[in-house]
Amino acid sequence: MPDLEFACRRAGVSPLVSWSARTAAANPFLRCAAAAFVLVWVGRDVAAESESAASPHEAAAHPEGAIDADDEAETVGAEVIVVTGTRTPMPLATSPVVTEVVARDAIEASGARTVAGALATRPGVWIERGIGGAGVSLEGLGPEYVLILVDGQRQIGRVGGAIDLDRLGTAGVEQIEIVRGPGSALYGADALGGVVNIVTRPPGDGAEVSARVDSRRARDLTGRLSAGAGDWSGTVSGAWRTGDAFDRTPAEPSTTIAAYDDARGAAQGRYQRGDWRVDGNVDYLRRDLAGVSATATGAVLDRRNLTEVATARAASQWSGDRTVVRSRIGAALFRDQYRSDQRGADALDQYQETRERELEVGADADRRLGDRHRITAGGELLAEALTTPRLARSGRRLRAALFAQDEWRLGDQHQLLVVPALRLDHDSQFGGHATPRLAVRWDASERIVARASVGAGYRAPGFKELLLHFENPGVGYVVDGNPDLAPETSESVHAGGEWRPRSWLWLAGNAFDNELHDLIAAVSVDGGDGPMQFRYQNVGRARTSGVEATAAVAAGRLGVELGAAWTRARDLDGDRPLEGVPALRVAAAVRWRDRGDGFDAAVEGAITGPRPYYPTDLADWTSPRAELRARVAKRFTSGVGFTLGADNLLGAGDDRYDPLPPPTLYVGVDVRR
Amino acid sequence: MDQTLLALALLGAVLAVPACADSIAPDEGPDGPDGGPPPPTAPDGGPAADAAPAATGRVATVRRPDGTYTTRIDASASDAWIAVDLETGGEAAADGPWDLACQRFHVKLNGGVSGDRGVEVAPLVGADFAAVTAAPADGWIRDAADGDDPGTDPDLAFEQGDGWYVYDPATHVLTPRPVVWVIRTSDGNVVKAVIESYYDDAGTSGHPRLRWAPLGAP
Repeated sequence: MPDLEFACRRAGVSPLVSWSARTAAANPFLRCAAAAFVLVWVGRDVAAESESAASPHEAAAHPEGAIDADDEAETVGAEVIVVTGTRTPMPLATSPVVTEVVARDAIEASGARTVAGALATRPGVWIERGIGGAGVSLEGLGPEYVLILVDGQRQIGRVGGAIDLDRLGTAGVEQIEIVRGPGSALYGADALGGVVNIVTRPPGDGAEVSARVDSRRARDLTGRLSAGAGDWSGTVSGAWRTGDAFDRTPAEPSTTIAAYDDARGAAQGRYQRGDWRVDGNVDYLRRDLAGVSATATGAVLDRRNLTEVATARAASQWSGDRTVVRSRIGAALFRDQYRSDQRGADALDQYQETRERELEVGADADRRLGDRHRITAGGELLAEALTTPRLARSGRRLRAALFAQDEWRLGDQHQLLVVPALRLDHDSQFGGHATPRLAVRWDASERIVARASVGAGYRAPGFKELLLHFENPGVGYVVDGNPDLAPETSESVHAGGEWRPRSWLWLAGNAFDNELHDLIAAVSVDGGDGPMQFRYQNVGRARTSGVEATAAVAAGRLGVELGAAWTRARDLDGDRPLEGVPALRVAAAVRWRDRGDGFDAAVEGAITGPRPYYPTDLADWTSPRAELRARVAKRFTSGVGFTLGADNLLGAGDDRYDPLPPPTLYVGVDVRR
Repeated sequence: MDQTLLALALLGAVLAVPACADSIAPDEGPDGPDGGPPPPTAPDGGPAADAAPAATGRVATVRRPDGTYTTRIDASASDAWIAVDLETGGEAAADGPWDLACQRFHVKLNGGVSGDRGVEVAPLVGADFAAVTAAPADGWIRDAADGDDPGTDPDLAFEQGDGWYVYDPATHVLTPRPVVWVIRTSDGNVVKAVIESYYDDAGTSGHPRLRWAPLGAP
């Protein structure tokens, strides 16, 4: 029988993805030659936190255990540990919250070099490429409604509402966890559409280097060195990526994709002794983008963004018999220098420096009460500051939060799991806010699992919405922020199930409904003949509903996954579809893998339906988009691996709404010791 | 205690690297334009061809091969009116014989509530510039006091009715409407004019470009 981790899938994981989580370390896939010195980042390894997986409690809750003894999956249920859905490490197979996991193995199989690329062919995930880079949308809600975490640490540096997932390389990623629907009951602001938590690789032993070059002359070098002694272990890693700009319409001066030059360095360390574990990491990214844009008036601007992101994080954990206590502190700095140089004139020349800082401190504890309750409670303090010339003044905010949840198991075999959760935030800008959630999981049989949840979410007004003062004297309009804005809020219902009718077949379906209130929009407030004046106000309403279905087949070395997501996203006030949201996404992946001879081949594709945009009151619909990528890899017992792959084989993309690179062929080599 | 020290060390490391990268701010002032408008040239055969051009650099007029004139006005400053004397093709003093003045996208005349030289205009909507050979007998308007409309600013002749431009809220681009503006100047001459663009050749806003030609007396 195939060695797919069915248990992972049962919890909503993407099959192909989780497919070989347990052999991730042995995974070969090429990567390239050469070496760079380098680093990647770090973080704590959720997978290593599997102590809870071994608890009798979990075993009792899932009597089916390994599902099929002849599945070679005897340890499957404990192999993939997720943390995002409940904020406590637990086996994916037992999670009360649907969690999609893109494991390292699957990331390598996709050939993706950035997190955005790794998520690009997931059916229920939409990567929107705009002014803020590659942002992720979930359940029809844009990047500003999706919380991005790295090892649980909130990421800063939103541009146009999006955290650019192209700035996050995959070299240091252990797995990506996606939890759809509101996560504010655990994580606070910004988690309306869902939470994407990027879990970094843990410290280990050994070294690896990789290099890759493609037909567009992009180069990618990574390196990683790990060592340990006694109670200590540590890793230093680094990565360097560079690529030329791409111009889909050479007759026009603007570039479709900017040239990039990214360098990243990271170090992490872990101390573990007895019941204690302490992790620390530092990470620094320097990203240099250069492109050309043309305005509607004919102005041509040479643009450059030099972005730096520095983060540091420390976390400690004490594990007792029935109690786990965690604490953490994290700091982050985002600095972006933007320069535009107008050709032939200087009227539109600009230089803007934006600095954003964040300090996050938190602690929480789990305690088991009897064999039916597991209580988690904690608190957080968050301080944010933003300075940019576009704001009337620097933005500062403090937020304090308390949260608690109970994992309450019912039934003679604990087949029913009820998880109520509540979080209370107090923000220096808008005051108090409470977000509840109730999640239920029912193990109807060994092969059928049902889940449902109701919850609330909120998005705190951004500094731009609060403090912006932007004048365009050329055409006479002014946009002002509004310090009195309230948070945007949502209520959501989710329901779904998983069914494994055969040992080689896994089916899953999920439905959702989100209703959003008090959406922030710029509203005209002028009434005179001076400049047009706009001001942000809580005026909008929207609703997104949809279903997602996934089927996966695992037969020996062959794995096939097919998924589809249908979304209805409406602007209730404007009575029209939400901008940029595709109603339909269909994705498929086929993978052939032979661990014995180190051969691995994968083909992935996704079809995206038309999306509406509103350059005027009339919708401008995009054409459907079909993406396809393929990769073959061979790893030798010497530790050397080679890769050959191709991205965007069908040449998807356009110059306006789908700025994708052209078909690209790449080769790589890597060495792992 | 160990973790506390580690946390502080890491925190310090982050705070110590607030600006690792070099600044990319321009070293000097903004670079100069490398293709600005041509120097002012006196109109050849205009209403007052013998007058000396006002060469301030903010107003420049050239004669086209077809005998019409092109006047480029740098009205990009939002706090200054740039006055134009069509007889000279150059910039005029605020108390001089100017005909029209521009400030960003606003255009006012030296007549009505904006001036005392009696300048007025007759907008010919949809007219063909070449086909306009004489001043109309009626339809003349001047800058007027604020009327029954939102706001309190004067109702400038170029902004009455639909005004001289169309604003695209999606691109924030101003596009001139197809109107031939027949202007009676401060010296009593009559010219026909169209606003060809609100942008200069580099795409910068606040640079209206007029094409105009003298007409015979009505």
